[in-house]
Amino acid sequence: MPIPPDLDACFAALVMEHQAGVRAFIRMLGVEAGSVDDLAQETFIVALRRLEDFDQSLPAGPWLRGIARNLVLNHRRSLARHALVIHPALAEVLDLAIGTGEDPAGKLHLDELVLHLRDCIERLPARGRALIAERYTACASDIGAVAVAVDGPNAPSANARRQALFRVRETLRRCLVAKVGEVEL
Amino acid sequence: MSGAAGMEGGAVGAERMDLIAAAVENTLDDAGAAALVDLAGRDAAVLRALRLHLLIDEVAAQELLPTRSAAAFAAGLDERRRAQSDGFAFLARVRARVAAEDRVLALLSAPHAAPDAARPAGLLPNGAANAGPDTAPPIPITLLGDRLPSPWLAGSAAAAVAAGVLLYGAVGTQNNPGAGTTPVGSLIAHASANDLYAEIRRKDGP
Repeated sequence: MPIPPDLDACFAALVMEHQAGVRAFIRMLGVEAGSVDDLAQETFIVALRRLEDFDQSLPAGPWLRGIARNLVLNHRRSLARHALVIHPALAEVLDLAIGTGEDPAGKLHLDELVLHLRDCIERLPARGRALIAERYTACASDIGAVAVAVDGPNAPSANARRQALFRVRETLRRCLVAKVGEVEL
Repeated sequence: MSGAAGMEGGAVGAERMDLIAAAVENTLDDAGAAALVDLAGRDAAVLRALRLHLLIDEVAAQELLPTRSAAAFAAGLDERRRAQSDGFAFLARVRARVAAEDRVLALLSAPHAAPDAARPAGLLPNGAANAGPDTAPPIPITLLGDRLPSPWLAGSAAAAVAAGVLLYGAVGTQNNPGAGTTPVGSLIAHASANDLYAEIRRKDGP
C-alpha cells in the first residue's frame, strides 16, 4: 500500500533520528549482533503501519522501543528463532531488567547516550578502533586467525584479543561515565 | 554503576569479565549463560555492566563498520519496505519471467534435423543433470551457430536464447538495476551448445 509523500518524509525523518537508538536497544535485549538490523527494520516497518495512530505530542523513542521489545519477545517465543539471541535464558533476564531506555529522572535518554558514545569512539586510539572492526570481519571463533593475519605469527591469542576488546569497551564506558555520570540502563 | 566501576579496579573477577566478553561476542555456551544469569541475579551491577557492554559494542559497530552504518541500515529498510508493499507487482514480474522462459523452451523444442549422436550430454539449461558429463567449455551465444546441427536450428535457437535473455534481463532488472541476471537467466545466457543440444534431444527423444 503506497503511503502519502508527507507521511513518507515523516517516516524517513523518524528512521534517521531513531535508528541508532533502536538498534542499540535491541542489542541490549540480548539479540546477537547479526540479527539486530533485521529486527530494527521490522520495528520501523511495524511503526510505519501504525504511524498515523501515533500521538506526535509524545516522544517517539519509547514508542519505537516498545515495538522493538515486543518483536524481540515474539521472536524469543518462537523456538526456531532462538538463534537470534545470545542465549534464551540471558535474553529473558535482560528483558526483565530493562526499561525502554529512559532514565528514571527523565534526564538521560538512550539516544543521547548513543551520541555521547559516538564522540567517545571518535577519540578512541586507532588500535582500539581496529580491534572492534576486526571482530566483525570474521566469526568470533576465528578471532585468533584474524589476529595472526593482522599481526603476524606473534599475534596475541584469541583469549588475549578478547580481553583487549573488553578493555577497549571499558575505555569507552569510562569516557561515557565522564560525560554523563554513572549510567543506569 | 558500582559493578562497572569495580571493573576499573579489577574488583570484578576474571570470570565475570570472560562471561560478559563471551556474551558480547556470542560465544557463550549453556554453562556460561547459566553462570552469567546466576551472577546477574546476585549482583545487579553485573547485569548493568553486560547491558552497557552490549550498548557500546553495538554503537561501535554502527560507527566503525560501513555495513552497519546509518546509510546502510536505511537502504536495507527501504528495500525491505518496497519488497513488502510491492507484492503484487513482484508477483507479476515473476510470472512474466516464467512466461518468457517457457517461450524460450517452446522455441527450442520445435522439430529439427536429427542430432549428431556423438555429441556428449551435459547440464540442461535449468541446471538439472543430464545423462552424461558436460566436458565442453561454455560457448558465447554468438558462436552457437557453429555447433548446432542445422543452420535453421542454429538461427532459431540463437534467436530464441537472445530473446529470452533480453526478456529476462528486462524483467529481472526492472526494479533492481545492476543486479544482473538471476541464476536461471545466467544459465540460459551461458548455456553451451552442448547444453542446448542435450535439451533438444531430451524433448524430442532418441
